[in-house]
Amino acid sequence: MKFKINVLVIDDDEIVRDVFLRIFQKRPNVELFVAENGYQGLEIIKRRRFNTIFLDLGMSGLNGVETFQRIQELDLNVKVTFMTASSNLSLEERAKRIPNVRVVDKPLEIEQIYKIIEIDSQYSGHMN
Amino acid sequence: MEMEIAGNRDFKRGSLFIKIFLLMAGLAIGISILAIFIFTAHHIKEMKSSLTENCEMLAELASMNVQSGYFIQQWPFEILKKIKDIENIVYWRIVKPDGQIYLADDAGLWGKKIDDEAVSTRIPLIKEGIFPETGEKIGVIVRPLDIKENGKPWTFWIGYSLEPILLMKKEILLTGFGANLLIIILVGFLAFFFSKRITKPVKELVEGTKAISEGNLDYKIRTESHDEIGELANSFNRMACDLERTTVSRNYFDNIIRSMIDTLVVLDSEEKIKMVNKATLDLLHYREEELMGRPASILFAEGEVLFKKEKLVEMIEKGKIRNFDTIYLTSSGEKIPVSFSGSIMRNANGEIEGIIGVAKDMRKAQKLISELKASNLELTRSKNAMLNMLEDLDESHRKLKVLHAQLLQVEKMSAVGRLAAGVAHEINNPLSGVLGFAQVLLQEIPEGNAWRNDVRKIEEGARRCKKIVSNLLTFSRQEEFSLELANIGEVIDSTLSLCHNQIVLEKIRIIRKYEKDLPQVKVSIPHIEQVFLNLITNAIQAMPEGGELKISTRLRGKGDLIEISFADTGKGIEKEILPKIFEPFFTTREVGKGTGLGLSVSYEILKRHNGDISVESEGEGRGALFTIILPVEKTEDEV
Repeated sequence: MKFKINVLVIDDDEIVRDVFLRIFQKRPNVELFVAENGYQGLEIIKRRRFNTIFLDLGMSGLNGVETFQRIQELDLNVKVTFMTASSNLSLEERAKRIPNVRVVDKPLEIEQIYKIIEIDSQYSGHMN
Repeated sequence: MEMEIAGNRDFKRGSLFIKIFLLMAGLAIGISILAIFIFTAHHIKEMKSSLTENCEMLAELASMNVQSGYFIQQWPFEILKKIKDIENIVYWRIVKPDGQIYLADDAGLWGKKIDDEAVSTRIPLIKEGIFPETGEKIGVIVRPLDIKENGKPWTFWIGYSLEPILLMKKEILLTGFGANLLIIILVGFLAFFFSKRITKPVKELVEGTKAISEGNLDYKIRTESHDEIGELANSFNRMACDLERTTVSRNYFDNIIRSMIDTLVVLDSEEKIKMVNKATLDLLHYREEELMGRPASILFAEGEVLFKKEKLVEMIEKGKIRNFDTIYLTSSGEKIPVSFSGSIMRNANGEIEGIIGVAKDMRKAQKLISELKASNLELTRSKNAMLNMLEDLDESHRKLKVLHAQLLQVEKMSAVGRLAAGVAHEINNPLSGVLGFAQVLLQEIPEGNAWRNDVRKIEEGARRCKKIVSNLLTFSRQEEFSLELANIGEVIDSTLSLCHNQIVLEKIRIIRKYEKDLPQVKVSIPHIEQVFLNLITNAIQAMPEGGELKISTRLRGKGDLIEISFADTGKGIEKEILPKIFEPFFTTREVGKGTGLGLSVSYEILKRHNGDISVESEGEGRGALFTIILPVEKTEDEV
């Protein structure tokens, strides 16, 4: 329990960020950061290493894929899960072609979120 | 010309004009002649009686002189000589009772005897005779004298000529006739004009009658007189007027008959030709007079039975004969096929008056018929060809209809898909909040709390929304498929394993009949699994009391198709809704129990695999059969 799992959620929709905040409000082993756009997310990533990142695909400004490309420049090994509201098919297609990332449909099941965090933290050796 | 004839008609023997004229002229002449005669006779009688009277006075005077002369024995010769000189006096005689002439103007007669009864008359006599010397007609006065011999008186005779009277008579008659001639001419003229005046309206009546009988009903007689003839003319005009109103003129009928295109023949009761129209004459090259009164058989080719006895009898019994094919014969012997129709004409008493026959020249028609037969044959051929074409067309039309329906379906689907894509983003994000917060709450609300149930309902609702949106999105996600070769039996089995628990729970018996060595198909496995899952879930739900689901696969067509069928023993599907079950949002389940998108998504998925899905059901309670067709993927060396 010494190590906290670092999770970043980048989504321009407040309600999505709020759900994540609420889910992990009473889970002290998870350190949750939220960013409301790609740039904000990148700023946070520059200062901290994350076990897993939940990245919204269809954002204004930098979209999910563009944000992902810049994340790769900063941290090649971070696990990224794209969240899609299925509104932009070509973007989704592009995301799906990227190796070693997940694409999940919104809305995410709470169990799904737990599972993703569990897997990614084990893989990166941060979860005990 | 007409006028001349009409004028001459006046002088025809026996005409009314002549009758009246002759009567009047004759009467006038007769009366005038009679008048002349009466006048003449009267005048002559007057003259005669005055002559006789004079002569009587002369005779009396002479007698008295003779008597006195006798008594004094001195004959009054002077006086007697003078008597002879008096005009018209032819002779004088003194005659003895024995007839011997005692004295006379002619000395040659003295002593001669005359044989006459008058010699012994005792009363004066007047008689007529002929004076032998000149042969002229004379009157003789015989007067007895007071000289007696043997008791018998002598007689004094005086003869006077009647010639002047006769002459006068002749003169009068001549003058009378001369005057009469003038009168006759005058009277003739009068009679002419008078009779003309009488006969003129009569003549006009005659003309009018003729005109009307010829059909000229417009003809009106001018009436000037107000006598009976004028009245007759008036009533005649009225009659003509009535006739015009009530009848069609003969001219009109004649015209109709003459103008008829078909030939018309009227026969009398002895089958002799009574009338023919122009068309008949033109057709058969006869002149009218050549046919009139001839037997009807002249019109027909030899051996034509129409006017043999039995045919006529038949015609009379039936009253008519219609479209009888027979042959007419022209004057030059040419045969003309005709269609003959005839009917019996009866008079008011029902007796046969004749036969009316109409014949239609069939030469053109027959030619047409033969042409028609030829073209009919052609037509039949074309018709058959056309029928074949029509069948093909029908087939294509049917196919086209199916295609059209499919196209319409695709249109509908993609429209729904586009809509779904548009709203997906807007729905999925808030849905993330609803689902996420509900699930967080569920983790935090202790068991037994009444709120848990409510929040679970929220979670459930959010999940359903998610599913609906995801199903809708399937329509618009063509690029999503990642196709891979698969053994269809394995895909079915893996799907069955997904719902194994449910199958056991609902007591469903699964019968699998897979054809061996089926070729592989190139499919998006998760999507095909979704289709199978849909069908299996539907089947399970159709059999709430348990049942049998038979899943079979087989090769179809030329080996290029694989058929997968799902046959259940459930409640089946009503015939009316069968065509609708692949439409989006169509569901038979109660609201909330199904999205109504399962089958339409399946349909869409299969269409995108170039496959198909169809359904059959015998109706409620008889199960349903879903059949899926998928194309076989060509082997690699073919690609």
